[in-house]
Amino acid sequence: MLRIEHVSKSYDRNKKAVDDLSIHVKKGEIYGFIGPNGAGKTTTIKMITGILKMSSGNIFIDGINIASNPIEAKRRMTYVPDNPDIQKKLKGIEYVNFIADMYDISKADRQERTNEYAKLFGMQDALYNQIASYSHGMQQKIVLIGALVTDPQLIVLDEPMVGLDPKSSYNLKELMKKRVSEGKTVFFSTHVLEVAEKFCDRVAIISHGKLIAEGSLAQLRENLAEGDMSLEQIFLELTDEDNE
Amino acid sequence: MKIMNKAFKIFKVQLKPMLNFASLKTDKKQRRKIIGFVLLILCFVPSYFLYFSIVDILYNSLAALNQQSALLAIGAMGVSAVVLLFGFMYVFSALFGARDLDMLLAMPVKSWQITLAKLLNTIVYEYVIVLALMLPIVIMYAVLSSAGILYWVYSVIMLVFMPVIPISVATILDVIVIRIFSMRFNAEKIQTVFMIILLIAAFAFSFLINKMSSVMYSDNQAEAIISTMIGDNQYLINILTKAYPPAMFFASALSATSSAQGDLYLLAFVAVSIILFGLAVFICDKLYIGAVTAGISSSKSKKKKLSSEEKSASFKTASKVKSIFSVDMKVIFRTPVFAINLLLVIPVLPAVILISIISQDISINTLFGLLSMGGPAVGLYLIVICFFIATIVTMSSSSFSREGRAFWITQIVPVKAMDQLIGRCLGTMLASGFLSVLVISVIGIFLKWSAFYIIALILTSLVACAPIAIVGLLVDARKPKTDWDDAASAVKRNTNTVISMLLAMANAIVLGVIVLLLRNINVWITISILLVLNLIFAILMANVYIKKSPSMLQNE
Ligand SMILES: Nc1ncnc2c1ncn2[C@@H]1O[C@H](COP(=O)(O)OP(=O)(O)O)[C@@H](O)[C@H]1O
Ligand SMILES: [Mg+2]
Repeated sequence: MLRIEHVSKSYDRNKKAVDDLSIHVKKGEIYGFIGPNGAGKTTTIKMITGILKMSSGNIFIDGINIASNPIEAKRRMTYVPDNPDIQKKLKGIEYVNFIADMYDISKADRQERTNEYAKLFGMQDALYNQIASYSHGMQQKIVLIGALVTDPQLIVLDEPMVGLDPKSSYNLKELMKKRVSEGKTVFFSTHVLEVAEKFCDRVAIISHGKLIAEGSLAQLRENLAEGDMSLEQIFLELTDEDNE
Repeated sequence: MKIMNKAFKIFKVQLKPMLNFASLKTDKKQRRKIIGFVLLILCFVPSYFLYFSIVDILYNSLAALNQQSALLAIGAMGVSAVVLLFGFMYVFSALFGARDLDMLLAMPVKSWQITLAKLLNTIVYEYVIVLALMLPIVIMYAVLSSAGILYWVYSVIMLVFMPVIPISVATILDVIVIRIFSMRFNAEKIQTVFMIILLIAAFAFSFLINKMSSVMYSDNQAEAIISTMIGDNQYLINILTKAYPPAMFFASALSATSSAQGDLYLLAFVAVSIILFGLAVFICDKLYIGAVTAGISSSKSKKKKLSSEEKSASFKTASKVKSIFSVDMKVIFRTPVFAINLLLVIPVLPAVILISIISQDISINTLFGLLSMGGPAVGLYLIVICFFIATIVTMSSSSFSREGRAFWITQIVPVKAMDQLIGRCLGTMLASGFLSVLVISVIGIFLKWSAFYIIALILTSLVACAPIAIVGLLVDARKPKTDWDDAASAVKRNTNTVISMLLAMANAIVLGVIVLLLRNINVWITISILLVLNLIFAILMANVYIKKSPSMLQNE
């Protein structure tokens, strides 16, 4: 579903934010993209979604090259950024309608989905207020609702749990599980190992732009037990108390 | 006296930021700012001398009619009007933009003391305006009429009281407006209100001037008036100050310092000032501070619950073009800074034309006379003028910048470049198209051109709006300025709008030159050439946008 091939990105000449990264996410899996702060997660995600130009490499969404056929590729995915920056002057419903228009979602579909997700996140009434009046968490939720309304094959989330209340966080996880059971794909980043645990089918761990390890978490722990030093270092960083 | 002391202390604390020069020594940046400020003032010195000489001329021409004291009345009225205008805003921000209010209310001071302190503060700020505008008048009058000591004493007293009446009026009106709308004003709204007041004032002023000049021209009884004037040295004052009596008190007090009447006018001026100020403090305290302490100042939520039908109706589908356009318009209309900068220019121009026509301004009649002599070829120059007018519509050149940090949405949605282009240029096209249609049809109908010719001209200028709008969009797509917190930076401090305005002007100049070169050829040929040129230009630019924008809109 998502194939990243030898992708590199350097913001300035001497330092690579992402360095020759290759990942293959299969259809119908929840894939965790784990790394400490500054590892290059956001950079990678912005290249997947077509926000950022890559320096080299290729990214395919459902076999479609994002660089050469961006519209077709974008039609198959949606993105929830780490900061919910959206037009504050719109009402929640207007924002959702706009996004739905961009993805050609029918009236019946958008109504059913919006109501379902608004209920899930406790946003039924807030939907009709201006986004400027929302709290940070509510803004995060309206972005989530906007993304979910498009009901894409692939959903890409950047640190989705940060800032969400525990209940919504739980609901989101359940929702993701439901989506993959329907054959859809979830790709999300986190800097906290716990978030990924018991929830991801597979994870990739990156540090300083490089892929350190890939596989199921159980598998990675096995490798760790066998004395993989670089992995141990990363695991320490990711489970550090200060990290939260 | 102890009670007044507290008010005075608040007053002093509030004044400090303005007078805090001591800290400037340490701050290099601040010092540079001050130097720049001083230089700016120096630039105004020559025009200030010009002001002096204008006052001189005015005095002498009024003296010839034995109406020299009218100079003082005119000055007092003018200054009061300016203070009133700025007063609306100063009082607004002093009372409603104040973050220190909660803190002040928590202190052991009476609320009227806070009000008093805040209003006194506003008055002090106004002294800058009063002195700058009134000193030349007061000084020149003294010198030219060889006034005595008493004149100076009187003028100092009255200059001190000069801003009091307009500030009191501004306060009372402001507070009433606030209570009626029961709104909480933020800086953005204050700016909007002030801009609208300014605009209305400007229109009213130009309307009055137009009216007055046409009355003057048509009146053949000038001689009779002049002879009355020479007989009665209060004639002009009385006419001028009917609308604003304190100006008459001011002028009469100063022009008759030696008589008992002069003292009376001085007393009247001071008394009216104090009474009005007291009233302003009272009203402000009761209506505003009273409301704040009672906790009902904040806007009541009048939101009604939506019924399920209404909720269901709020889900609407629209084409991508329409959806992009309507979201764009909603954001513009709901962001005052955007609306002022992008939309206000649109009605201003037609309004000016309309006012000139209604008030039968002589200059516009002469203009029409001249235009009708030029024959149909004038229509071509008119189109060129429309090209220039269209450059003031800068909507598309901040289209992406205006989205600010929400720009990522534009980057991720699967929308064809062509849809983006149409959705984002539609506003500009409509606005500049509206202007062209208005200007061409009004003038065309006045000059009795054929309907066919008018339609052809309108069509040509409509087509010419497209490439300019697309160029603006391209300029903004190349380097959108999205990293802002304050909406003004997306439209005001955005080089993209300046660049595309310059490009649009260059385009208008080129087209103007073409029209000039072809002036001896048949009008229809010129129109066809303009149409084809602009069509080609538009298609070219649209193709550049379609090809380049996907990559341009990505971050580097
Ligand atoms: N716009 C940018 N310009 C320059 N450097 C950047 C930019 N964005 C991110 N970086 C750098 O790229 C690296 C990866 O950042 P990021 O992808 O945001 O990490 P993560 O999301 O994993 O915390 C960091 O070293 C960061 O400083
Ligand atoms: Mg990040």
